[in-house]
Amino acid sequence: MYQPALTGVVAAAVGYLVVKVVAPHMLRYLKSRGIVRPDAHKPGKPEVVHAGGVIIFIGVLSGLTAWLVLQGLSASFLKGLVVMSAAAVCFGVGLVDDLKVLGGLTKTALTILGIVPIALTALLDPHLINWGRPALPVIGQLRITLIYWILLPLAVAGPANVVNMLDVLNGITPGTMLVAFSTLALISAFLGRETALILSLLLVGVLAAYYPYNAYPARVFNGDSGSLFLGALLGGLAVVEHLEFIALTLLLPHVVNGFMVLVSFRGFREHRTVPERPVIVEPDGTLRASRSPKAPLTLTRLALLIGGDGREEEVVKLYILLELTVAALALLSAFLML
Amino acid sequence: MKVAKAWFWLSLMASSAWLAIIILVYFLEMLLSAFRDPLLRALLGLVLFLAWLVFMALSVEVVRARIGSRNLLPEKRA
Repeated sequence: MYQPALTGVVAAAVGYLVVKVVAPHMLRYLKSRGIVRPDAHKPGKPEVVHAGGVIIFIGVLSGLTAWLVLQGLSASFLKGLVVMSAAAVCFGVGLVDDLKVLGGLTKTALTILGIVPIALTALLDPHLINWGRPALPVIGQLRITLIYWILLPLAVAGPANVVNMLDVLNGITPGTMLVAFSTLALISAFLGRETALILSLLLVGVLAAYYPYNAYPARVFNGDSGSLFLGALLGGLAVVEHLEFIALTLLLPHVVNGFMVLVSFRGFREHRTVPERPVIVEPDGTLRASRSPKAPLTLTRLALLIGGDGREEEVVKLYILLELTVAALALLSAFLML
Repeated sequence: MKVAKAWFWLSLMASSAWLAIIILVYFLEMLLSAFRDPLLRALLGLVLFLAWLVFMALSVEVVRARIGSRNLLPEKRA
């Protein structure tokens, strides 16, 4: 895996540099176009530039170009391109939502289209993408496959939407995804998955450059374009590289939060239309869990109930620590799958 | 905020969820392999999977109701 790792490192370096160069210009451009949103968890709700997903997308695209230059149209690059196409569908949906707000159900339904590039490639070239029968630690390859095929349309949309649902505080999404993709790169090298290794390393480079812009206090919000794109990349990689359980483990905090939100809301709902907020912001910026029975249950609300009132940066630190826990579980899963 | 305390309990919850998924799939595999008819096996698998989802959803609602009805932490006074 030396050659793919080297390709991944070069692609990551290109992605990192492009984000560092593009981000300041893009921030100025988005601000000049009035693409800003209030930061709901800060006193006075200051306006912050939105749709930072565009910066991440440009970074990944440049890294992908470097990958093409280094490897040509190799099988691993083509797989990476299919994953990127699937994620680009979700990025497009997110960008439309960033510029012109879509309904919760409409947005989720449109992200299901993210599976189309993967499905089409699997049908046209079954040797390139051999899907089905995921493997689990201890159990090995599953024999029960019906549930897999039923859940397959959600393989890209599910991760995309759960990452989006947890993108509520400064730095959570790039912070947790940085841990997730670093772990995925390590596991891919361990299990010999070339596409996942290169794309994960590329994402590590891009997110390392982008993280300071979204970290507390954020200069840019990821927007749905950023969170849907990152979640879709992880979901797409899981399908084409047979890393379904690893991806599920890495997304456990997001999945648990997403499940709580769906159950509390009795379905998909745009967060701006929620009548009662799960977290209350005190005038000094301290976050407090709502005690209202009507407020939805979220992981942040639960964390504040367990740990007590806290500042935004403390809650983000907690989420990154939690992501490190699930990263350890993902590594254990990979070890048990050998 | 007690970050270490919150991290411990949330990590415990995530680890339990991870283990619960493995155990559930393991027992589903064991149980369903006993049925020869693929249609029956598929239907039973689907029913059990949905039952598990309903159970998890009910658990979320129970926790939400308890948070709403109990003062788990002292309210801040104005």
